Formats: sequence, C-alpha cells, structure tokens
Amino acid sequence: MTQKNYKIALIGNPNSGKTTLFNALTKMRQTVGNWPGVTIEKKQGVYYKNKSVTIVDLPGIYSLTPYSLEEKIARDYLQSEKPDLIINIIDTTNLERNLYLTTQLAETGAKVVAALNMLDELESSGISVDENRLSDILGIRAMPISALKNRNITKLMDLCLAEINRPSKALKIEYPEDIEKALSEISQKLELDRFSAIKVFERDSLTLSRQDKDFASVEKTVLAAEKRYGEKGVEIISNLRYAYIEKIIPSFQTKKMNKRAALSAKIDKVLTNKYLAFPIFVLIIWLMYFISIQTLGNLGLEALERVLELLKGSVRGGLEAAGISPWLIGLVVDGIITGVGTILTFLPQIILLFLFISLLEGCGYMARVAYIMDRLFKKIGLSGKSFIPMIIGCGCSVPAIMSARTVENNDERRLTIMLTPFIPCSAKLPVFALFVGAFFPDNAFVAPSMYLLGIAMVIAGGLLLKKLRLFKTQSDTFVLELPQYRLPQLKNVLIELWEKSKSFIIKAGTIIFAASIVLWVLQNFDWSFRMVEAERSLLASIGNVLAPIFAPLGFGDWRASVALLAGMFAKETVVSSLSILLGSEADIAAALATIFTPLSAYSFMAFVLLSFPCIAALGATKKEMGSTKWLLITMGFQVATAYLVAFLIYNIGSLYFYNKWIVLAPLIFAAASVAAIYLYKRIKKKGAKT
Amino acid sequence: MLTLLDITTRKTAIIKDVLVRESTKRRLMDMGLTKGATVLMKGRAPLGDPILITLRGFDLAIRKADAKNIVVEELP
Repeated sequence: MTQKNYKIALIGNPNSGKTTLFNALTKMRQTVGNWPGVTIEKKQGVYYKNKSVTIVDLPGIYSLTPYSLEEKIARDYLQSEKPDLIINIIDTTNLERNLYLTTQLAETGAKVVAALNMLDELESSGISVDENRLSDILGIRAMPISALKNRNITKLMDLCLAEINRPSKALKIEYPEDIEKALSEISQKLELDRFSAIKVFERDSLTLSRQDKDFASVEKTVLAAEKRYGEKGVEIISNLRYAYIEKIIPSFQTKKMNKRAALSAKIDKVLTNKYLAFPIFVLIIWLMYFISIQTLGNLGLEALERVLELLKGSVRGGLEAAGISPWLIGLVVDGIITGVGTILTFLPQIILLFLFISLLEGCGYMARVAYIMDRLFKKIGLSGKSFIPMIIGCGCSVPAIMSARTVENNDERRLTIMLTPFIPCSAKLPVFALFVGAFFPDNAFVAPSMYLLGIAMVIAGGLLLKKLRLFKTQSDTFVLELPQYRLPQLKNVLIELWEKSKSFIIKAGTIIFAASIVLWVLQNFDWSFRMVEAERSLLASIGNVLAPIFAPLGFGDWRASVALLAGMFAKETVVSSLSILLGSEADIAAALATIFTPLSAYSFMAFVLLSFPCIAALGATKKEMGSTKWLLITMGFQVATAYLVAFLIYNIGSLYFYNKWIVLAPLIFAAASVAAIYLYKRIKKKGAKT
Repeated sequence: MLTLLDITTRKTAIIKDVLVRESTKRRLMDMGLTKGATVLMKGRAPLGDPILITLRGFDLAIRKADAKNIVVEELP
C-alpha cells in the first residue's frame, strides 16, 4: 500500500505558540520563548504519529502582505510550495488581531484549519469561544487546543487529515458596494480569482510581478477608489477587514474579567516603573551572574575540580604503570584531560546561566527590557528590533548575528551585527568564572559588571559609530507587542537546558579537544620539532611576538597572548589553554596569580568580553554582512574597542590603586588624546556639512 | 488636532487617522491600529519613550515620534 505524503504548514501571529505546537507534533526541540520573533527561518519535521505528514514551522506574521522578511518567507512558502493544508494557529486570548490573518488565509481558498491555542489560559483570561460558530462564519474548521499542555493535539491532526481530502471554499467578505464593484472589474478584466483581485487592489508586489497580466489596465479603477477613500488600496482593505472582524466577533466570543491581563498589568507597574525599572534590571542581571558564577555554580565547580584532579592522577598512574612513553602521557593527561576537563568543570555554571536565560525568555520579561531600553537604543540609531539579537546573544553570538536579519534597515542591521557580540555569550562565562574565582572570590560585583560593561559598550560603541558617520542611521520605528506574563513551562526549560548542555559537551569533545592537542604539541616542541621546555617552545615564540602588544593592557606574559589567540576558535579555549599552559602547578588560581594581578585580570576579562568573538561568529558576520570589507571593519572596530577599554581600565586602575604610571602610559595617553582630538574635529566637520 | 501623544494615562481614544511613514503605517494597521479602533493609554517607559497602549486586547509599545502623528479623538 502506498501512502500519500502530505505537507502541513503552521502559520500564525508572532508569539502565538507555533513552535510549541511544532515541537508537540514532531517531538523535536526547537527554541521557544515568550516574545515575538523567536523563529526566523522555516523549520521542517515529521508528525510523530504518521511519518507521511511533514510539518513546516514558519516565522510569525501579522498579515500576508509581504513587507518584512518574515512575511516574505511565509508568503513565498505558501505560494511556491503550496502545502496541502495550513494550520492557522490562533492565540485565542488575542482573537481580534489573530483573526486578521485568519480571514486573509480563508480568502485565499487554501485548506485551512484553525487551531484555537491557549486553551489553558482562556479561563483566567475570562474568554470563551464557540468554535462551531466561528467555523460556520469563516468556513474553516476549528479545534481548541493547548500546545503547551499537549491537549487536543491528536484531535487537531485527525481533523486536519480528514479535511485534507475535502474541497475547500474561499471565504467571501462582503465589502462596501463601491469596493465590490472595483474588485469585480479587476477580476473580469484580468481574469483573476477574487483573492488575486484583492491583492491587485492592494498593489501587492508579489502579485503585480506576474508577467502574464496587464495590470496597467485596471490602474484607473484602483486609483479612483484610493482617491475616494483618501488612502492606499491596502489600507482601505485593512480598515474594512478589521471592521468585518469587529462585526463577527461577538457572535462567537464572550469576554469577562481578564484576570491574567490584570495580573500582568500589576507586575508591569513594578517592573517598568519609572524609578524601579532600571534598578530591577540591574538586580536581575546581578543575581543571574552572581548565582551562576559565584554561589551555586561555584559549588558544582569545586566538586568537579576534585573529580578532575583524581582522574588526572589515576590516568597518569595507570599509564605510567602500563609503560606508556612519557610524551604520550603528557599529551593525554596535561593536554587532553586538562584542556577538555577544565572546561567541563564549568558545566554547572553554564547550566545555571542557561536556566536564568530560559526563565527570563519564557516569562516575557525580555520584551519589557526592550521596552525600557528603547530610548537608549534610539540614541544610537537602533530600534527595539535590534534588541532581540542582543537577547539571543546572551546564549551565543552566532544565532544572534543571524537573527539580525529581521532588521530591515541596512545600516541598522550592520550596526546591530557589529554591536551584538559585546553582550557576553555563554562561552565567555567560564573565562569570567575562572578569573573571578582566582582573583575576586569574595567580590559579588565583578562578574555581573562584565554584563553591564557589555551593555554600556553597546551604547557607547553605537554612539561612536554614529558620530563617525559610518552609518547615517535614522532609527527605524519601534513597534513591539508586550506579551502577557506567563509562567515558563518546566518541560520547555528542561528541554532547553538539556540541549544547551549537550552542545556545550559536544563543543568540549570536538573543538576544545582538538585545540588542546594542538596547544600541547606547540607548547612542548620547538621549530625543529624537538621536545623542549615550554619557555623555548613554538608556542612561546609565537606568544612572545604578541606579548608586547598586550603589555600596556597589563598582561604582557606570552601565555596570556597565546590564550587570547586560542580563544579565537572558541572562547572556552581561553580557559583550557591557560589550564594547559599553567598546568605544572596543581592550583590554577595560584598559577594565574603568577602572571596576572587582580587589576590586569579584570582588564583581561574586559578584553575577552569585547574583542571579536569566535571563528563561528566571524563566519556568521561575514555571511550576514555579505562582504569581506564589512567583516574587516567589524573585526577592527571590536578589537580596537576591546584594546581601548582594557587599556583604560588597566592604566586608570594603576593610577588609582597603585598610584603609579605604567612606563608606556604617558606616551600612549598622548597618542590617544591626539586621536580623540582628531576624531572630534572630524565629527564636527562632518556635522557642519549636514 | 489631538494626537495619541496628548492622551493621558488611563484615558481612551478613537483612532481617526494614522499619518506615519508608509512601512510603519502598514505594520500598525496590520496589528489593528486602524481607523475607528479604540485604544487605552497605559503609560510611558521609564525614560519617557516609547509609550504603551492597549489595542484590541493586547499591549503595544510605539515611539513618541510615531504617536504624535496618529490623530485621535478622546473618549470621555
């Protein structure tokens, strides 16, 4: 028996629960969050109960008019792939706006089934919906579901599979007489169906790009209507469509007191309060870093460090007893186990950080952060849309840079890509944890200060780039929906933690494993490939070339330079390479103290925070920027910023704490002042021109 | 001419005209900020901008620069 293969597409408003439904249907684990715009590309999976059904998750959209990237992706997919059925997922607590898209989908005549999502939240929202009445009016079948609680999911799919073989009929909204007349004129003249006629009336770019029709012949009809209404065709239809929804909605929806909205409003009164908003934000960041790096996370770290020491001892003993040659023992124990193992000891801290991030994303707070920060972002020519990459950037810069794609304005997108890596990604956490543990174990502010320094540099860096007129950004508008607060689902959080931990371990087993071997070899051999002391090794000679560059920043030891260089592959490698390079001592904290002071350690942390991210992120930057030139500008900007900030921290710090000038400092200060004056003049001159 | 920016917190208004940039206008209209829609002013962000309104049952943040180009009629 051959079974037909079906394709079902998920379409709905942003933040309506498409990805949650997708995960429930395919048993896959895609990231979900409580803010609009989590999904930026289409994702495919197979229905877990019937492998012949492919499910496609599309980005959230508000309408079928393609003017944002998300809408283009969704519309292109519908038009070119022609799925066998569309599941229109509707946030039932937000019915009016969600139906705007539903009516458009129903008008196309495609097979649509409405999934009335958020069944679990309806009661507290005081809303009830009669799905049969809704079906009758819109001519599409509907099923109340809860994607989150996995309720009615199978019923929904059974309904879809039954509907897939039944003919569908396009919804016909009765527009006012003059519009109806215009529409029928268009469809007669051009021999188009009603939906295409509406799209012609809306001057939809995708429809008008068709070569086989003479659209000029109906231009007069559209113009006449536009003149009568004093609006564009697309706006006339938009107004009428919402008017239609307002008219039909009372026949299937009843609304009572919305307790959830009331609760959300109460929470917002505190979290976005004029005076409390920023202190609370700082407090949350502080808690996030303090708990994951210093308190709970550190307990796990210490336990794992002991395990690592035991492991190293027993492996070394075992290999020695087996008569393995010393260099191989060195490679295995001092190279691989030290390098990979040291990174793995940071797993508890990484898990805690991701726990915080996923709680903050799941509850809806991140959208509030975008809301309270927008004013500052506007100053540097960015909008709230740019904030989404920066939220994602707390986890990893690569998806963050990719998500900048949704920022439509070219300048704004480039600026976002350049600034996003200043937000510390999770790979930088082990570096901070290592140094905080070694130099500031009792100071609760050092680790969180890195995050705040990152945000400060996003704003300062943005201002600088704006002043340099690298971008002529007129900040785009900011339109953001603030979703109601929602308790994050334990299951989602656990899945996310599991996925993140897994990829961290995989990274340790691949990139860091390879880097550890390379580092150990380079550290133990010289140019003629003889085994030598570390100080005369290949690595030392490379490091010694770089060291003078970093000397004014406080870390002129060759091992620090090598660690930074190794950090290009993955930021965690900074930690594993330091642990290999300083491996002769048992206690890494004590070993670090031989090449860093607390001040130079802080300066080193700042440099790691701000200098360009890993190779993967650079690759993403090049791809999204679309040119090598912009990749180089980005790298130059980030390294220069990192160097400058670390320089200032170390030199001003030396002056303040030790009351001494670093040998080179006066010279470099002079150079910096000249550069500053030059910049100022340049900015003023350019300013005068415009 | 009264604009959305003139509406004080907890007051409601009816949208009369949306005079913002083309791309922004479409986005706002797709989200339901159409002529005749009722909006409730919820307040401002801590730094004064953007403003927060309730529209068709959900909360929407828009910048002052756009709000001052949205013509409204205040409801008692």
